[in-house]
Amino acid sequence: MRPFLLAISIGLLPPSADPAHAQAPKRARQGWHNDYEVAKDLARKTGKPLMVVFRCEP
Amino acid sequence: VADEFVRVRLVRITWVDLNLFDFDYDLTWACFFLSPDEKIYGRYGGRDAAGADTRNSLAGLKYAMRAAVEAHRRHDPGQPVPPKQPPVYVERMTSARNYRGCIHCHQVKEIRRDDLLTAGKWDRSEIFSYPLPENLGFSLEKDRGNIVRSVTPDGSAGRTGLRKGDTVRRLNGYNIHSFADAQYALHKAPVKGQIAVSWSRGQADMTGSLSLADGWRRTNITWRPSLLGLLPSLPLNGSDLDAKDRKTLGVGEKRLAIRLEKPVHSELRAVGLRENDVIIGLNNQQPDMSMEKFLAHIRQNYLAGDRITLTIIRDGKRMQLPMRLR
Repeated sequence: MRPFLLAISIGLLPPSADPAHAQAPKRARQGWHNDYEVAKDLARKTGKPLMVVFRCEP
Repeated sequence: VADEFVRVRLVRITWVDLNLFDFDYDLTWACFFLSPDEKIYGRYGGRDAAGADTRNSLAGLKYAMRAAVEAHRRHDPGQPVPPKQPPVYVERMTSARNYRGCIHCHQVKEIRRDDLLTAGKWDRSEIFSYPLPENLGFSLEKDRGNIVRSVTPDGSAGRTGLRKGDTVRRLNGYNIHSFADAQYALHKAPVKGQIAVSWSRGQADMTGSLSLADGWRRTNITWRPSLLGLLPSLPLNGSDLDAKDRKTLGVGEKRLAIRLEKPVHSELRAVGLRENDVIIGLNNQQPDMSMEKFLAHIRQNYLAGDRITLTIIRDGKRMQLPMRLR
């Protein structure tokens, strides 16, 4: 893995890269959601902007 | 700064509205900053043929994130968006039925292209997507993605007046805080014409137009997974001619001169090439080029199916050999 992606993975992304987790919505893991609609509702309630990351899993 | 956001990580491109999340699907990592009502404040990510990390850094990401937080606080209208359209999902595209299992992001491009090809609407110019700022003669800093790192004096940006250290504010109507913002703004620019640019230098705000010359979108595309099926490969087995043989054949020191060695690939034998043939020209030109650069040139400038003509020397005689790239 390239240094930038590695740093992102360690610093920001949840430890699991298991797609099964990605497809199990609702609960945020270490502050990261995996359901866009749930996150959008939360952003409306909190007044925060959204940060949406697309990460292609090999 | 991450806590200023509601963060979402998506690893599937299915059921993602491609009208909203319009990005360079050849990337393995891409990021959007947007409001809950889907005004896009900015993007992060992007790359070039040199590598996946050449344009990204954590400092640069934080810089773009902070800019997005500020835009959200001041209720910035965000980046221009087309009128609200129905969502577009990749799995609903006609050619998606030919793809089994998980659809990878780059396959969005392939599926779109397949649909356009079927409809007879695909245009070859579409292979040059997401042009680099360098194509217009400027580059941006990695850690502060809207600060001009360098300007080519005789390039489009240089002629407009952009200088090293300037802060690019808007490009083609898009706010710029990252390389990804700039690349998207350029992706949306026309094939030819002009685009607006505004920048600041100290306290002064400046505006101008960047002219888009013929072929300005042309970029090294060989890293793009969506294009692998389109890029040709010339199966040459050989080596650059040495100085002595060049002198004998009257070929300049730096000119293209590749002697074919055994075994000659069946694809090349089929067009008439043989062992010891010396390739000295392409399409009636004799470029200054090594074998390595020649192979890269073919891959960067042609598509599979294109026709080329090789000039060769065999037994002291020059010959022209037409062939179709595969």
